[in-house]
Amino acid sequence: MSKIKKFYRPENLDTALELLSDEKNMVIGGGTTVAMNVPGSISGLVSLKKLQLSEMKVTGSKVEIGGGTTAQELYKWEGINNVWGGILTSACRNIGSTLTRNLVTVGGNIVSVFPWSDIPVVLMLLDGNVVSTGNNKVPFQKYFEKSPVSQGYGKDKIITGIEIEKNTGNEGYFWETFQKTKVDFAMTTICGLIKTENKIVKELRLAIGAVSVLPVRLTGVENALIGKELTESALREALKKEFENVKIRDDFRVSKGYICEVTENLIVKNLMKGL
Amino acid sequence: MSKKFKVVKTSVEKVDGYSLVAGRGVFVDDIDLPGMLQIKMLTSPHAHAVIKSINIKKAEALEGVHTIMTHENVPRIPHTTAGQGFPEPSPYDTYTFRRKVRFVGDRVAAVVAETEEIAEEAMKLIEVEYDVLPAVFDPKDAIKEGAPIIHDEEDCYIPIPVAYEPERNLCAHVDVEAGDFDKAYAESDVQVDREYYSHYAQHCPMEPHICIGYPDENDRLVLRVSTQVPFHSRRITAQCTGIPIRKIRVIKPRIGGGFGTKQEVLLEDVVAFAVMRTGRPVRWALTRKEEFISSRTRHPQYVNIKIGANKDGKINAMEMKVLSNTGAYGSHALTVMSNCGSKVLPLYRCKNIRFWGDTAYTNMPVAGAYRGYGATQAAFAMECVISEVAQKIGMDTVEFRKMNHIKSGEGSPIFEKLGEGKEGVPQTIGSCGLAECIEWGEKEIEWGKKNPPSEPHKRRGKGVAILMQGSSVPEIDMGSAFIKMNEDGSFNLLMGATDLGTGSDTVLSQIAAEVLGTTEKFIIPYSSDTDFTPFDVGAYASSTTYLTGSAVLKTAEKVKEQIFGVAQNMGPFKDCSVDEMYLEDAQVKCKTCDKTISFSDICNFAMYAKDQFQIAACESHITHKSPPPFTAHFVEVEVDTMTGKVDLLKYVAPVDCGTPINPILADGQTQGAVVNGISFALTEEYFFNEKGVMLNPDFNNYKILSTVDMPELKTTLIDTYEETGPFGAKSVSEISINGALPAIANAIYDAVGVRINNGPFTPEKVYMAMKELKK
Amino acid sequence: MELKLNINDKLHVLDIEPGDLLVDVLRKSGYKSVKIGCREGTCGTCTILLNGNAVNSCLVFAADCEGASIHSVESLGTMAEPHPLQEAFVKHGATQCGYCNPGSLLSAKALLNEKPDPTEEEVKEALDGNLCRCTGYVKRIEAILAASKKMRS
Repeated sequence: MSKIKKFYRPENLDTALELLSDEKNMVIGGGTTVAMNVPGSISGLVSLKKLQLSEMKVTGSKVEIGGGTTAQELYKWEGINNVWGGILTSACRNIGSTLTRNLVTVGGNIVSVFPWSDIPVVLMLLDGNVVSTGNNKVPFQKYFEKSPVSQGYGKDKIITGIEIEKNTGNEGYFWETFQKTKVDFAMTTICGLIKTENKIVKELRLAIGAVSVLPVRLTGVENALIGKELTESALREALKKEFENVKIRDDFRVSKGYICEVTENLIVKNLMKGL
Repeated sequence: MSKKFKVVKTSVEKVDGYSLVAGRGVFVDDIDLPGMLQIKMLTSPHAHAVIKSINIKKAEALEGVHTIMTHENVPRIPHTTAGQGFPEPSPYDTYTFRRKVRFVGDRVAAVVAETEEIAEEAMKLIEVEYDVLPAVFDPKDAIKEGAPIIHDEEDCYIPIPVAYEPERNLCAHVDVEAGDFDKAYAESDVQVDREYYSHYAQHCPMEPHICIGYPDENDRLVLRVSTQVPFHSRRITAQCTGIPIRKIRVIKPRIGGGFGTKQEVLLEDVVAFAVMRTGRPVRWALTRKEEFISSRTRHPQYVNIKIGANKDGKINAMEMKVLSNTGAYGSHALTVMSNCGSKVLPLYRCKNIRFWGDTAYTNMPVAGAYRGYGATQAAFAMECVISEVAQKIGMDTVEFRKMNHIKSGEGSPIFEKLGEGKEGVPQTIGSCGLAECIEWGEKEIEWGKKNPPSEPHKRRGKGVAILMQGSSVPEIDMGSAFIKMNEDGSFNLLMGATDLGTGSDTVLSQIAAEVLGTTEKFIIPYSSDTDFTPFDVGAYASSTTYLTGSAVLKTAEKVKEQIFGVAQNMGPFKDCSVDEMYLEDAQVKCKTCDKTISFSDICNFAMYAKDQFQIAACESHITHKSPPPFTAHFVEVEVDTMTGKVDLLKYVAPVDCGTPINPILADGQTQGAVVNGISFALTEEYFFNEKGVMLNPDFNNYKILSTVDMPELKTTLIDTYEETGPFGAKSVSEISINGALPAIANAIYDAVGVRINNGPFTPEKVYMAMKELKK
Repeated sequence: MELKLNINDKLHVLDIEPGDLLVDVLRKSGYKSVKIGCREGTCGTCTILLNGNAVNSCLVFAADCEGASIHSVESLGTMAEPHPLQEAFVKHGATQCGYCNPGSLLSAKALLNEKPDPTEEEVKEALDGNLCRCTGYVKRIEAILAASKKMRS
């Protein structure tokens, strides 16, 4: 007596979009979220498997990753090992277990975004775009401003992939997550990029996730520190100030005060390490 | 000390191993029965409420629904779900369905339908009106005056003469004293008085509870159950349903782990009623969520330890006060609490000992048996306090333990005073390899050596805990075996003992093979089926190898005698005396002549030639001692001061289990128990909201360790010989789950100077304690 | 609806419901080695190889697997002729209750297909989704390393 009466495997994007225009139908990427819980109003599933969206390639200054690429494929792909200090590889490695990484797709991970989703936090840091049907491109930072589902992704537009501007050099990147066990939903995740000259901060990017519903770029901290000498006290002060603006989500596993302290400590540790 | 064996003490391949790895092993759910119906249980959303009304009409009318059971249409028979010997030392406070619900997840109504989906739809159509009552969640509050009374019914009682005061939520009470604790404590140079709390946890067998029932061709009820206690399952199902025992058959196929949660008769009554009502095969399988919420848990406990010692390191006085939380029903409430004292206090030589235990009812999930069985909770408190006493005296914590731990030939007044629902059995320690365990562990962990941390913001520390358990419940539990011989010289070994993954079929086959002079390949073990296998209490209390092992040994000896008798009747051995005969290589041999007779010839002669009879025997065994296995656990941790996270670097667990009948399997028991213990100590916990709802009933949020979380783990078996055990064996399965909490807590203290007195040792707890210390 | 699946190198034409999960379809088709422990992709007892990748079959819609190649543990070896991994699991004590064995064996198989000579860390990572409450993992890891050695020689 399954609620699902139809299962579609469209072979082109137009058909997929047409199917998704019916409100009874729902898109599935890897399918892992929907398999556990089909929303009550849904009676048809639209799989994107036949759309051939799983290509990964490096073209000129860009890395292009298809939306149907699995987390495991991306994690194992050498093409991103040396891009942005390999932090995307680390993030992909952290998604679920090997078994779920073989199912979870990049598109799925950035459409049905959970607070602990691993790819979004890293994308907040990078230069690049989410690419959807009609070759629509939205910079990562703008894309994650609101819940992707509320923006119509997976309904009137399908994510075909992401494109990342290749950067040069591997110095100064960091990514760290904090969770109970190695296969766990993150309680806080931080990542960043710092470049200094004679202790003066030349470039600084910081993003955090899991502590908030959507990932957050800490632009306040970035602005406060760029052009200045990096000291622990200045950094902590800037972080504390910025956290006042971040809406820390309820997580029954940890208290808000504690997880903020940990987030701050992890950022401090990683930034000061480079000096 | 060590003796020579042929089959015993070798790591023969697990007898069901190839079947399991080939995916052939047949578990409860792996059969298809035509027309099988499904059960889904509607459970209480309230922690404490009276069902004012329940309307099942709409649900019953749904197509595909066969029957719905509630307290209004199912007989109310007080019983306990605890699968223990009869009469059980647990209160009869449970009814198949009840008018009052006592925890979130308590039974309300069972829907029997064509499919699980239909049953779930029907559940939504059942209209229940509740009178919500005030609830109480902490055992300390529960036993205060004025607390809501959880069991206010008139017909609940405990079937043995022990304290039971449900009118004040007191489910069990025990107090015993040896010597004069107060005086000795007051006179001690050093006194430590601390309270520890061990938390809610679930067993997490990979196979959740499941039961399939069907009527056989003679209208007897057959139950295929994932159970550790097939005979108790049969008895309690009969009690609840009124079906006579002779009309029930319980089959235990392969079981996907139990760890105590399947020492519980949890599903059988409802399945039995459903089969009676529908005449169809019926299946009830718990989901993982239900397994967490509505099956059984470890008893959370407050354990208060007082120890008085002299400056020279001698322990004068020990007191243990336990307040155990049994949740809504009193399954194993008395015995888990008593076991805190009986498996932990005897470890240290001391004349003045007091034990005080209370078990309280609360409106929380129901606790039950869980590997370690109280010793886990109590050892946490005891082993932390022992370290603190040593530190207060200024002694090394290992030296202090060496000086005070019990040794071979010594007894403890606790053995005699504290039993299971009655007084205990006096005993002195036979085999004891604890000193060797400590020595091995010290070396392996490099005790006394402080290693530098891997990063500047991290701190390293080492910790120790020593432990004992028991082997079966003396003079209460009974095991038995039946062996018969076949024409090819093989033997059927039928046992009520319950292999639930432990390897007992293999171990017991080895014991039989050793006696019968054959190999385990010629033993065909079968466990368990109440129609075919003789009675055995089941797999609990670390009993199978020690208790059923002795029954198998006795049975095999009887069979051996019969084989000798047949041999004497046969031509070649006419002039040989039985005293000269022995069994080897599946043959009867004689010490004086060089003649041999094969087992095959023996059996054929007995069956077909002369004075025909079936070579077969059945023997039973009870024990008069419960010889403890011993272990010393050592651990090295690294604490991250920036997050409070505790990383386990190395864990060392040498175990004295007497003769390991099968060393690889014994070692596997140790490793499994250790990792479960570590997981409990570091990550596993139940989160509840203010209404008593568990927030994390899934493996996404209730974290058990996976391969990538493993520390370096070193285990070994320390050779001793227990004279009272089969071929020198003692138990091994439970003991090693008890070490992680105290050993890790002691290591955290060594690393960062904070004593965490409640589990699990989450980063937040450690971080906050470190912050507090800085103030 | 009709579904064509290649299970253990044999073509099956199955009649399924559009919302059926792969785990249920496989069990209904007689592949009882595919176990159920959580239905949430967290325990790994339902692991199968889907086009060579180890996945939780409880998280996969059967209808999404049209034409796919599926391997369950029955494809590895038999009791009489076990695969080296199966043999190593028995010899090294990596099987206790056995409920997690089919899944963990398949994760190990997928790893060895890709990396015949894995490090201990790689074994741990490949098996990170296959929970086991009996063994404490040590013997499982030893068994896989031993099998890989044997298979290479």
